[in-house]
Parts: sequence; C-alpha cells; structure tokens
Amino acid sequence: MTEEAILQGCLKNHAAAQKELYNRYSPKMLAVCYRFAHNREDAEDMLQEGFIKVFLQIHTFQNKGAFEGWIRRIIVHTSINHLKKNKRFNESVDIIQASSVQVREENIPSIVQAKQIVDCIRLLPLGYRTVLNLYAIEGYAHREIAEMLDIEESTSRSQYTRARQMLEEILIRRNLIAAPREKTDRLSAIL
Amino acid sequence: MKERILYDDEFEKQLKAKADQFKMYPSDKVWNEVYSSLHTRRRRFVAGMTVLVASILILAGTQLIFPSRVIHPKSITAKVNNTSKPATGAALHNFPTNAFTADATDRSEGQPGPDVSQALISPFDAQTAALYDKPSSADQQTVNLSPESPMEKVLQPAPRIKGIQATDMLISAEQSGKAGLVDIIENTQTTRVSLLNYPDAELVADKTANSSTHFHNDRFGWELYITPSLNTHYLNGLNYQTMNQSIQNAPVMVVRLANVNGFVDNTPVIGYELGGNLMYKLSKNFSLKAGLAFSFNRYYIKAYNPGPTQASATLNSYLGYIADSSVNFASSGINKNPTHYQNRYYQISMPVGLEMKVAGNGKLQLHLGATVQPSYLLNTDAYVLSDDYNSYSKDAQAFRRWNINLGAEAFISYGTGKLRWELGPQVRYQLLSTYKNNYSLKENMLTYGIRIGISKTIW
Repeated sequence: MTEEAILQGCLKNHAAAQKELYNRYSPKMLAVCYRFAHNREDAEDMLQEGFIKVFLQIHTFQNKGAFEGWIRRIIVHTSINHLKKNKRFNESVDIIQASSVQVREENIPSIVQAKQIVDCIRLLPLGYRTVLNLYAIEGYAHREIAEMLDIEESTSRSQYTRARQMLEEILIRRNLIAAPREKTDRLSAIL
Repeated sequence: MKERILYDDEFEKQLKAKADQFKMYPSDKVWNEVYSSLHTRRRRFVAGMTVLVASILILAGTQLIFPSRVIHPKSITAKVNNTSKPATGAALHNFPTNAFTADATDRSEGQPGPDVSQALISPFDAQTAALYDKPSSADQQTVNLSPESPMEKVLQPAPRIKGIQATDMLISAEQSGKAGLVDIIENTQTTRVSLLNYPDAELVADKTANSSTHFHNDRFGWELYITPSLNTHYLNGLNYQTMNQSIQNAPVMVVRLANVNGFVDNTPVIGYELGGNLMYKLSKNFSLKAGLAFSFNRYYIKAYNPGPTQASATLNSYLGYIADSSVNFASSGINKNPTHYQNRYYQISMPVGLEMKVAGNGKLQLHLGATVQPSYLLNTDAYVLSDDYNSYSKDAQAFRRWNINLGAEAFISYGTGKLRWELGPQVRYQLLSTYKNNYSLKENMLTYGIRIGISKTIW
C-alpha cells in the first residue's frame, strides 16, 4: 500500500489503513520513545498516546514535508509531555547551569551497533538525555528545546554540552570510541 | 519546528545516524489500545445495543415472572348471577383483567358515578382479594358500588364494560354450593370487588361482545422469539460488462465469466436468531413493531488444504483492494480429502415493520409480518473466495459492516391466559453483499427458519 493510499485510508478512519501506518512506523517511533522513556513500558505508553494523536490529527498534515517527519514530531512532543508529567523530570532538567565544558571531537566507528549507542544514551541522567535526544538526534534548536521543556535556552545549551561529554565518556568506557586524550572521572559518579 | 540546517559536527551526525537505525517492536497491546481509542463509536454502538437488548429482555422477563396488575381508574357495575340453577363452573374466557373495568358514568345513562370512583374485579388476584362470607338469600345478587348507591340503581340496565355486557358477566359457584358473592371493599378512593369464598369461582363473559373499543387499552406489547435457521447464500462474480475499458481489455480467465456457484461446495448449518420487539397496535388487525435481534449464521465450505500458499489472487488490486492476509485453502482439489470449514457471521439488527392479523379469533390467530432490518456485523469467522475461485482466504477487512435485511414471517399464535405463543416460518434476505464493494464477489444470504415466539400485551 502506498503512503498516499495509507494517508487517504486514515483520513477516512479505515482500520486497515491505520494498521498499515502503525505497522510501518511504530518500530522506529518506539525507538524514539525508548530513548526518552524510563523503561519500555513508559515508551509503549508514549507510543500509544502519540499514535492516537497522529490518527486524530492526520487531517492537519499538509503534504509539505515528509510524512515520517510529521509523525516523528508528534511522537517526540508526546514523549516530552509524558515526561513533563513526571516531577523527577522537571527537577532534573533544571539542575545544572553548567559553564563551559571542553568537548572533544570523537568519531563513532561504524561497527558500533545502534543498540549500543541507545543503551549508552539511556545511561545519561534524564535531563541530559532529553536535551541530547532533542538536539543531537531529533534536530531541534536550543531555543525550541527551551520552549518545549520550559527552561532557559542557556540551560539547554549547557545541559547538552554536559550530556554530550558524559555520553562520550560512557562510549569510551565501553570501548565504543577511541580513548580520550584527557580523562575525567566524572563518569564513575553515574555508572 | 525549525530543524537545524546542519549538524554541528561529525559526532552528532553519527550519533543521529546510529540512533535512527535502532528499531523496537511494540507489543500487541499498544495497537489494541490505539484501535479501541480510535473506534470508540463502534464500541459505544455495541454497548448501546447490548444495553437495549438487555433492557428488553429484563422487561420481558419481569413481565413473565411478575405479571402486571393494572388498575384502571374506572368503576364497574356488575351483576352477580347466582340463580338457583346449579352453577356451571365458571371460566374466564379470553379477555384481559382490565376488561372487567368500566366507567362509572356508564352505569346510569351518563349520570355521574358514585363517590367511589374506582372499582376492580380481579379474578386473577385471588390471593389479594379479601374474602368475605356473607349470607345471601337473594337469587340474584348485585354488586354494591358505593354506600350511597341504592340497590335498584345498580340493577339498572347493565352497561358495557370494555366491550363486555356486564349482564353477561356471571359469577357462579359450583363446587362450594354456596351463593356466589361479590363484595366491595371500600377505600376512600377505590372500591375493590372481590370474589368471596370462592377461589374457584370464575367469571364468564360473553366473548361475542363488541371488542371495537377494546384495543385502546391494549396497544402496547412485547414479543420475544428465537428462530433456529439455515441459510442459503448466492454468490455472483464480476460484472464484466460494467468494467471500465482498460479492465475489459485485459486477459480474463474464462472461469471468471462462469457461474461462481458452480465452483464452490457449501453446506448450510443450523444457526439461530434471537430477538425481541415492542409492539404498538395501530388498529384492530395491524401492529407496528420495532426491536432488536441477534443472529448467528453459518455454513460449511468444503476446501482442500494444499499446504501454505500465497494468496496473490485473493482480491482485486485493480479495484482498489489489497489483501493483508494470505490464504490458505484451495476450493477444489484432486485426489485429496476435503475438509469442512465453517463460515460464521454474528450480526445484530434492528427490525422495524408491520404485523397483520389475517384470521382467527381470540384464541387462535394467524399473523403475517414484514420488517426492514438495518444490521451491523459484529464479528466474523469466515473465509472469502478468491476472485479466480481457486482458494479461500481469511480477511476480516473484506466484510461489510453495515447491511440491510428484509424479513418476512407468517405464524399462528395461540393464547394461553395473558400470553400468546407463536410458531411459524420466517425468512430473511440480505440485500447488500456480505463483502465490501471493492471485493469482486457478491454474496447475498437468504436465511430461513421456524420462529418460536411468545408475546404479551403490556398496557
């Protein structure tokens, strides 16, 4: 079934088209949710809520961009809203007003599996992880992230910097990227 | 969202690329929840129908178990015939309890009735009737309607009591040998006429009495029925002539143009329909009825299991339909033992129609009825035949949910007390195809069975 046929079917609320759309995009979208969520159950809740919104708002899709991108934005926003209901999340994103942190330029070898990277991302504290996901992977600007998370733009920047540094340390510790020239022992605090 | 035009560095690009490669497969529960959230209207419909059916069944059950005791605000003049001739054993023949009531103003040529405005003879209500043992010396005793009513006034020419001449109402006592008595228990508002001392005494009424005014108080009723049924289904293939030119030019297998019914071997299996109607009497012989019915239809299909195969030819992609499941059983086979698979359909419908009494008296009647039945397919467990007639596949999406059926029935009804028992043939024809329009085959089902029912007038 073509994407256009799926879209038309979903607009008519046809269950078969909805199922087709779900089958096509849910694996990727669950991975997105999983990067934000505490656990798989939370991720599935986010996915469920997100897909309901997708189907209910599908008439607003204007064919201007990629359909997958449109779905993904809904899923991301749903995940963020889901997280914001959690008090722990609200506390975690605003803790650190980090100053400048040295960031290295490291490459991720192609042999590294996607799951390994995701597992490492999930080791980050919730606030760091959220900002890193939004900025580095989902491509949002710090200003947008600040609006989404109700924080200062500078907070988003600093959190991202810290998150990235911490992620690199995790990757190094797991031998997924090359060893750094300078080591920090900050990592041991969270692992 | 304004996406950043470029990622800042190689690390972020790689991180994104790696993260995007990751996929996880959600559990079935997620889709089920999504689906049920999106299709709440369907769920609400099913829930509403269930509540409606349950209400009808509860109402009917209540009426069956605890028959209503209707007290009409009417008074009565009745004459008790307790002549010296031996009582004959009385029977109340075929008219409802409320037929024993009459307006007090009837009693004396339009004169207002006595203070006692209500009276009731309730021969069915022997348990609650107060029993008195009054001596009687008169050959004929009269009902005393009120303290103010003189005996002679009551003895005036009897009025009609709901189509029954009060003079025809006889209370006699046979077994006790005592005089039959009717007394009046007075309250401030109601006078109750009771049978005294004669629990076995029954009222005899003239069944030939004019009943033209009778139905006004018996307009509403209900009926319940069950119809064990069989079905025949008619399959039609593609309408080749009506296809557009490009399709007509395409090579078409000869079998497509043949009668599809020659390619299948189906056997009807007994199913049933269970329903309830509310009735409204439009006139003496015509009733309007509406209700709900649940039907379960099924038939066997004979098929041959060729092992797993792909159902590439199951449905017509050029008609806009793509199957999402694959098939399974061949509709014909050589040197193989056939297997029977059942096609099952669960449907709920709302019959609305007319019923006519064509013959009969109070006891035995013949009725004809016809209904239109908007229906909804609740569930299926059925195989659909491929458009090359070679195989069957299972695809729930191929079935039409909403349909229209026409129903016709003829039955005899037999009255026993307050209930009428009904028995007769019933036929139901499904107007639209079982399958959606974009499926190449059309199936129309004819269901026939014997209807067994019970009905009762409520008020």
